[in-house]
Amino acid sequence: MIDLIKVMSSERFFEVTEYLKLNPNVNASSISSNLNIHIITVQRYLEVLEKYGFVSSREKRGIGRPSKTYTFLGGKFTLDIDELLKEYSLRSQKIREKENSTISYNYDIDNESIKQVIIGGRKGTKVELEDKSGKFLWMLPPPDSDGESIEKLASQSGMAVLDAVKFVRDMIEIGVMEVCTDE
Amino acid sequence: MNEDNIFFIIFFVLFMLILQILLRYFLSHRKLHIKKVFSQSFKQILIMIPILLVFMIFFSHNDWFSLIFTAVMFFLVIASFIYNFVKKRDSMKRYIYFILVYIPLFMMNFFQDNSAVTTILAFIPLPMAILYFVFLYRYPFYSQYWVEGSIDEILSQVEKGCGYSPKPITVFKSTGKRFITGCRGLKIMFREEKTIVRMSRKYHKACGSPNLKEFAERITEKIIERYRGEADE
Repeated sequence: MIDLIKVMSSERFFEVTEYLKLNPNVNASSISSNLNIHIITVQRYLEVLEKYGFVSSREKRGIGRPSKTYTFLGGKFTLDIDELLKEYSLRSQKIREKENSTISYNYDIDNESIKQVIIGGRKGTKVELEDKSGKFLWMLPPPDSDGESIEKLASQSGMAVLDAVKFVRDMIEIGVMEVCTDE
Repeated sequence: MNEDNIFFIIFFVLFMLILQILLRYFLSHRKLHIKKVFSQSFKQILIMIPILLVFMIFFSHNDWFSLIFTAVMFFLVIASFIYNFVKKRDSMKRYIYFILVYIPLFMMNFFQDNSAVTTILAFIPLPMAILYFVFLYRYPFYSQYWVEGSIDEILSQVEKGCGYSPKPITVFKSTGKRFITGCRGLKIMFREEKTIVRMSRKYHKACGSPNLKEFAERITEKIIERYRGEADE
């Protein structure tokens, strides 16, 4: 829900949504060129809209790489402020790296950032990280340490707290991080 | 292979063994246990003997291979120094000694027919090598042997049986210096406001799986104390 609230704070989000409503079955590239919005931004908006069921997508196969086209569906969502506050309250939780022999990293030691999380060996799944997430993960304390609060790591890496909470949840799910429990 | 070559190999191996033992023991400031010094030196010599035999058999019949091999090794070493300097990971200061030892040895390949010149070139590195060892003794945090010895001391103080992390650990501590040190399996990068410590999985296991956070903090403190002159030997 945080990701949806974040994208809705931008007026450009509504420009894209309105365009999509008026022009069904269109791809990210044509939205970007018609509205003069960077394609990465458009793709992010479309991903979030699709995640919450406001748009549907279809893969169009033709010459070259298959492209995804989108159609507006509409709908509504319920903002659960209790749930949001519950997420926000996790910021003081201490986290650390979880020992996991199936996880390895590609990192940039000069920029002090993790570029990729690799799950399951060299030919395993690769999770690309953005700059701030990469710096967040770089600063994560190692296994069996006292850990560090999400809020502090977010501040050190320049991430917004709610983004950091979401990132931590995702990383816990794939086995990179764990919450420190009092021993 | 004739008798002279065999005597040369025996003499060279004995010389290298004694040199290795002395270097490890003194450059570690006697931190490394003498048993460990002997054991590590012997292992290194055992690896060196077959390599030396191969070189003598193969390269003695072909001067060009010897020249190419030496040139490649020389440029790889110099390139790594320059890379670290350009990336601002380290200063060139301590590499100057190294380079001044390598250059005369490399130049020997071009004067193989002139024994007077090769003899002079063979002796030039000697004072540079001695100066380099004095430099390492004076600033032991650059020496892998001192670092190894310090690690042995730290390992007796930290928690063991802990988890491993394949990513580097950052220790936020004002260091005031920028250089790289470490030993086999451990790399420690000093930056002005922090240190970055990276340990290999194999070395972590060999050390008894120490708590990495604690270990990184202690080794950083130990090295800082040494170069600020706050620590005893």
